[in-house]
Order: sequence, then C-alpha cells, then structure tokens
Amino acid sequence: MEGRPLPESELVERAKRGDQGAYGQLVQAYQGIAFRTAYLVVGDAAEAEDAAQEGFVKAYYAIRRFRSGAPFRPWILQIVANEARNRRRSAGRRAGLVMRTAAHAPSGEAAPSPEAALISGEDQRTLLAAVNNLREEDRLVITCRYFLELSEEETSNVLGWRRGTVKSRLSRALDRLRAELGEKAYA
Amino acid sequence: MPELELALTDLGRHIEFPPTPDVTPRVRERLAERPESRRGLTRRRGLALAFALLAVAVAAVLAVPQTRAAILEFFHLRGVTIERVGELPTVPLQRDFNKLFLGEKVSLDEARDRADFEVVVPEALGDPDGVYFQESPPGGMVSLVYGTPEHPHALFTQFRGSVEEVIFKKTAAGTQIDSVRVGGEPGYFLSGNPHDFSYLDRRGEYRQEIVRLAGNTLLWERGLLTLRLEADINEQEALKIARSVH
Repeated sequence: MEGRPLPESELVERAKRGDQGAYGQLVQAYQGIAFRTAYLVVGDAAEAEDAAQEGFVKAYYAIRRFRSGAPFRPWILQIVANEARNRRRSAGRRAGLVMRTAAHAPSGEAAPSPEAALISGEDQRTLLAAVNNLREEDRLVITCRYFLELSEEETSNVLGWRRGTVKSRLSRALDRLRAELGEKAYA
Repeated sequence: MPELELALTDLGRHIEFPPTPDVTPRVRERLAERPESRRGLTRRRGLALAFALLAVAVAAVLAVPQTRAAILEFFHLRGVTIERVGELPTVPLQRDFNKLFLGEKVSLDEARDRADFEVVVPEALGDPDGVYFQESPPGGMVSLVYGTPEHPHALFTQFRGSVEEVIFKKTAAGTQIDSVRVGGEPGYFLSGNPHDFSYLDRRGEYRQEIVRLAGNTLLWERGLLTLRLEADINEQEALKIARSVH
C-alpha cells in the first residue's frame, strides 16, 4: 500500500466488499486494544491471543452487518471480548495485573510526568493491590473504564452488560474500592 | 473527575500488559482459506422460518377457549408458576411476530453478548436455525429455533429465573404435568393440551404469550437459569435433549 493510510471508514467499506487486505489493516490497527481487552477478561496471554485471532476472523464474516459510518472499535471489542468470555469458563483465571518496572517504562519517564506526580509509586501499588482484590465483576468494570480507558459503550459491549448496568456497577465498584482502601484515602 | 478515578486512570498508564502478539498474519491466512461468507442464504431462510412459525401461532390461538376459569392447581419452579385452570384465556395476537414471540433475530454470538448470563445450548439438537433475543425478563431471554422453515420442530428458551420475576404458565385441565429431575435439578414436563406462557417483569408489567409450537414442554432449572424446551416429543426424548445442554 502506497501513499497515506486510508481512513477507517474506507477500510471498513472495502472489507465489506471482500477486500481482505483492507481488513488486515483494521486488524493491525486494533489488535493491541483487542488483545489487552481479551487479556483482562480471560487472564491468560495465550488464551487472549486465541480470542483476538478468532474474534477478528468472525468479525470479517459478520462485517456486512456492521453499520457503515459507526466506529469500528466498540464493535470489534465486543466480538473479541465475547470470544474471551467463552474461553474464561474453562480457564477460570484472572489477569494478575502488575506495575511496569523501570526497564519497561516508556522513554521520557525519567522526569516525572504530570500523571506520575499524581500519586506516589507506593500509593499506586496499594491501589493496584486493592483493585486486584476486588471481586471479578468490580475488577472488570474498573479495569475496562480506567486501565483500558474504554468508553461506557465499549465497556457495555465488552462485558455484555447494558449501559445502565455498567454505570451502576461501576459506581458500586468504586464504593467498594474506597472501602477496601480505608476511609482516609480518596474520600 | 473525582480523585480516585484520576488515580485509577493514572495507574492504568503504568500497568504492564503482556506484549501484544501480531495476530494479523494468521488472520489473513485464515481468511484466505475460506473467502466467501454465506450470509445471504441464512437471511432468506430466517424469514421463511418466521412466517412458518407465525402460521403455527395462529393455529394455536384459534385452539384456545375464550374464557378464563378458576385456578385449579399450582406448580412452582424458581421464577415460574404453573397454574392449572379450567379454561385458558384468549391471548391477543400482535402483527409484529418477532416482538410478540421471541424478540429480535440475532446471531448466537450476539445473543451471548446481550444476555446478562452465559447462554447454554442443547447439543443433541445440533446448530439452531434461528436465534432470537428479547430484553425482558430482566437479564434478557434467548430463544433458539430448530427445524426447516416449513416444519419448525423445536424451541429452546432460556432466561435468568429469580424470586423477583414471576413466570406463569397456564394449562387447561387436559394438560398433564409431570415432575422431573434434570441433572439433579427440578423441572416439569407438560404434555397434552395447549398452555400459555406469561410473566410479570421487574417493573410489574404483565407480559403474556401463547404456546409457540404445537408441542409438549419441558421446564427446568439449571444453575441460575430457567430453561424451557418445546417440541413434539415425549418425556424421555425431552429429558435426553435437556441432559445435552451445556
């Protein structure tokens, strides 16, 4: 492919007409977020990779149903997350989330960024431990919204809950996280 | 954004995920192996099936007597009450087939996505010929339809039964109700005369539907789900299918 990359909507239209090359570009663009989403759901890197691959294949065969002009990301995340959920039943694991070590930190992290200055490394570890201790439903909604930074609609698609359910469960999950952390933190 | 939410967003940017594998080459290979989708065919078939089911439904309505009589007996299952009454009430038939009976036609994957529970499938029946989803009762209801468009032969429905949602199944005096166990969990097999199916949802709205296929019905519990199989089969066959659900 030469010249500027095609816009997403054009890639989708081409894929709808059976252009597998165009679809491959969509896969390339979204495999990162798709894999991380699957990983949060299934808790295992190999299973998450399978779920992402299977989801992208199934989405290709379903793409004629996809509404032209709609954003592709919530749709593909829904399909991949569904594959991941089907795999979770047998695996029964959860992603053990860890902090990046200094060696893995993106370049430019040596000087404290505005985010880094927000809470100390120790507080971050405490917060992560509290998130990891939450029950599965609470942990999933928090990690989707804040760690993957998915929209409410995307979270709804990924977890298979209605939008209103996402809202109410998120609110309750935050309450329980506050309780876990103790009264003094983030009151 | 409140402080905790800011702290979580910040934390998310410092989480270590496993490195993303490049799935693109394998996806491309798999698509090249099977280039054509068969969707067009499936859609035409689904429409024909909808019309066939509608014809069956009309016949069932005509068979139902006009007046409602006293309740003669009760049978309970979680989320379900089966009433034996003297005569069945008439249920209005709406023009919108999908809305009245089964909901929106979807793929099995979409149904799995939209239901608030893990959708189960009776293996003994093979792949369903149609999948439908409706929002109520709360949590959603998934229906799988089996058979050719001319002869739909089985309907399998699932929803999350709980004490808040009350499902009524009314039966006329000629309907036989047998208590059964499926995988150690309770159920009832209803055979003989037609029965109708209605429920109160969480908002207190009364929803009523008639029997959907001219067959016998097995209703049973499985974990949090209440399952319903309707087909022209005997109790032994129904139990065999029920045991293949997973």
